Amino acid sequence: MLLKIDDLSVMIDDKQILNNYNLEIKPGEIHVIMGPNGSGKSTLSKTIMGDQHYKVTNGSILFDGQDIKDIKTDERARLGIFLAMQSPMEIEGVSNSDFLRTALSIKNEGKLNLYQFAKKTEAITNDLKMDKNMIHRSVNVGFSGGERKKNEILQMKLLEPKLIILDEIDSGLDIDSLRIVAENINDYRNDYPDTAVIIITHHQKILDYIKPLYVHIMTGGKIVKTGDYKLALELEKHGFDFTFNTTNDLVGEDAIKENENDE
Amino acid sequence: MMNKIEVLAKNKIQNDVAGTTVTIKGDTLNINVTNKCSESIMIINNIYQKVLIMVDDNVSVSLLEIKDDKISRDSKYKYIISNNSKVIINKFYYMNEYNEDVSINLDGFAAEVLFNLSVMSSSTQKYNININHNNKNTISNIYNHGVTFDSGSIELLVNGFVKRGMCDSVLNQDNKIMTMGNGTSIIKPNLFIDEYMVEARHGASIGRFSEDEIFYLQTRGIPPKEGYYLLMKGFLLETFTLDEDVKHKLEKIIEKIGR
Repeated sequence: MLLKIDDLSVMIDDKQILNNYNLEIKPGEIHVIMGPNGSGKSTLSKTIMGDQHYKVTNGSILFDGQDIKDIKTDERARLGIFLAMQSPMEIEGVSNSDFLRTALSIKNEGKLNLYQFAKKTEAITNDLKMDKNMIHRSVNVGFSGGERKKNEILQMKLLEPKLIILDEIDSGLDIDSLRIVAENINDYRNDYPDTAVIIITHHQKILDYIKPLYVHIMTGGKIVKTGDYKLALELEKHGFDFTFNTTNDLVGEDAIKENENDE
Repeated sequence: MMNKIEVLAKNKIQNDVAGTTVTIKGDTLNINVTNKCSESIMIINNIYQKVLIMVDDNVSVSLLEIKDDKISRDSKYKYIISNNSKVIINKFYYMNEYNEDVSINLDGFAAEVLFNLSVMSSSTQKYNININHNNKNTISNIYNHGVTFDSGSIELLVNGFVKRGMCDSVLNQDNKIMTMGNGTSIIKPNLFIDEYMVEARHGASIGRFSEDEIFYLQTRGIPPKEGYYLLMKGFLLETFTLDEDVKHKLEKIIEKIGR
């Protein structure tokens, strides 16, 4: 198991957001998490990443068999967790290049081949159809929404994580950019097939490009329904209320167990 | 290329910069930059209390001054910039107990200055900076960035003056201090403008580096200590245009102090 979340409860500012949350992800699996605004999707991603604003009051998070609940964010990242953020930060004065060199150098314990770094960065910016000058500009400063999301994927491909969390990576992307971003994620998964992906989204469109094994629907801080790709289509067609009120699909861990039995 | 004017000792100056003359009168160091100067100038180890830098007509020149923890004597700098000249003044001061008065006089038509002051401080320091727009079409872009440590504090008093009739002048002031310790800093940004046809803006902020930015860097595997160094380096050098070797030298200083 790559990621195992057991009975996780999370609070922010004395408000309960996640409520005895359970999720298991094996290497190579793609899980989609959908749900109305405020259902706790982004809280989940930030909690996995170790954001100190979110207080874990119960449960555990195991990554690669290791309990990461008390591990700092930067260590979690170096273990191989990558969060592509919904709203990537602007960092004035820090160039993308300096930022990425620092991150890679730390990951490789001080070793960084600058020639290979430059070559790889150039190849990825080409794949993402990014402006080459972006690498020399301050991190995300003056970038459009689409450019920021591409910049997240550039970082992802350079840092080579084992678990990728895409928090609304599709928001702010036009049709062409969405396809390019999705193709790059698929290419990365072809190169590293054991990489697992959590896609947090409001829209089914990205799933036309990246095919998930499971689709989970969250509300009130827990998964209330789990299905496959068809569940996302149903959601797109009928909305959350309709989907919540139908009970013919298996829910939560039962769906995962059922799927495992089918395999 | 960056050449040096180095104060080796009192009354002993080494000047490697073509197109400049350096003279000493009492406790005043006089530097005259002519239009034959096409280089960047680094002023090293100035110990003179008063410095007068006169820039002739039609000169484009960049000045860099680095003051380290050995400098403690207060100084007064006066810059006089003549017609159609553009001067970039970069000052990088670190860990000294030092106060400075700066007077920038845009005396010539279309004279322009880009002034970057970056300071790392753990003591109490005061900088009094006056920019005088004494002619038409003059431009000043003033960036004062400081980082304080421990109980260190910086006081920035920044005044822009435009006399009546000095139309089509542009003034821009950006003053920021980041606090890493518990010292209390002060910024007083003032614009004294007696002319309607002027474009002016100023900003001042005192605060801490953003926790959200540190978190973002952490999500990429960068520990907070390294993250603060990256932010500090960006903050202090973002407006500087420097040769790679000089930039590397300043980065090393920031790394040593900031980490």
